[in-house]
Amino acid sequence: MNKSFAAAIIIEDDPWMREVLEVAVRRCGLKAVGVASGEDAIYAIDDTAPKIILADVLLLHTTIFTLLNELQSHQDLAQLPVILCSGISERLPDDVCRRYGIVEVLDKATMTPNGIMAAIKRHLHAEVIA
Amino acid sequence: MNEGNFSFELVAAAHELKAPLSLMRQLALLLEDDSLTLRERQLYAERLRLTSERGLRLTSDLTSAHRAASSLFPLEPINPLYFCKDIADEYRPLCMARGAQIRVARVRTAPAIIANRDLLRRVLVNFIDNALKYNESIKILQLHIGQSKKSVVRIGVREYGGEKMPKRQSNLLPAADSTAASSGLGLFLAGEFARNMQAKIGSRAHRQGGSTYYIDVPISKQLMLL
Repeated sequence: MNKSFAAAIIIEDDPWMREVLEVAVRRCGLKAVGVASGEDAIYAIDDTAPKIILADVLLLHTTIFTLLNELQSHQDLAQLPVILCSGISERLPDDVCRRYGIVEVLDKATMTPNGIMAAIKRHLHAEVIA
Repeated sequence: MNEGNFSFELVAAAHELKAPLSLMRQLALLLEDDSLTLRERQLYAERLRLTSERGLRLTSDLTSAHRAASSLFPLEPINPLYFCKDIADEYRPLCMARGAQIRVARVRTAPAIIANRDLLRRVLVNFIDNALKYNESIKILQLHIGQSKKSVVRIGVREYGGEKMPKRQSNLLPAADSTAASSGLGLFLAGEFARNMQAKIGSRAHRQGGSTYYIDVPISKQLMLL
């Protein structure tokens, strides 16, 4: 696998928060592809074949679960690890998270750049990380 | 804001404040990085300041809304054109930081309105904040003034280059007294402020994209001397 093509999709409707996440992703040696909505994420996933997704829960027109539900219906995407970065992390039950491929939930109020990077590294195969 | 709703509003406000506070924390953490260039450092510092100002505006609006339940806001004649120009000048840096321009549409005549200067300002700033927050593809925000009826002046904030209005916001308008959603609390408060001036807020989506948030304000019966 060519490491330079390993990408992470960041789905976050606040552009400045999205950039914060993009910085952390790039520091992991991944290509950061930021989008504002689940709809844009579908195109970005098709274009980049990401290795991981970082996403907010409450998006502009919907929630992330609409997209995650769609991903679960595709055999090749159902196993894609998803890390949620949310302000409502305490309201997300574990069983719901597991059902949608969510491997970790980070609380926006307490997460740190190093914490985001550590979470990405925990859920990616070693050969993907540069 | 009536007393019965206050605890609900408090929860909604806490939730609404969490977003700017979380972002401020992340920006502060980024600024701790020694490897940032001077340009990056300035950029993050500016975003930190602008985000804190957005949070402060919300807290200030909340206290005003609570106060509005028990006190009267004095109304005065206002020249809407000068008023809009002042707002555009004040919020130009915020718009630029979000990649948008702000301007006031040319208008031949702008009859004086009767409103509370502070509340009217809060309403329009809420429209600007909401437009910038929820629609990052906006290129131009235009404040426009028009006479919608004989006795009413409509001041609107029109988005150009943006997407259509998100459903969850359009649900709050024009009957902004329904419930405060987890987002769009600013619009809910804007509705409260408008009511205190016998004004009314509303919105319309444009077929070609973007939307306008507006407030209909009564025309002043006094001669305009401003």
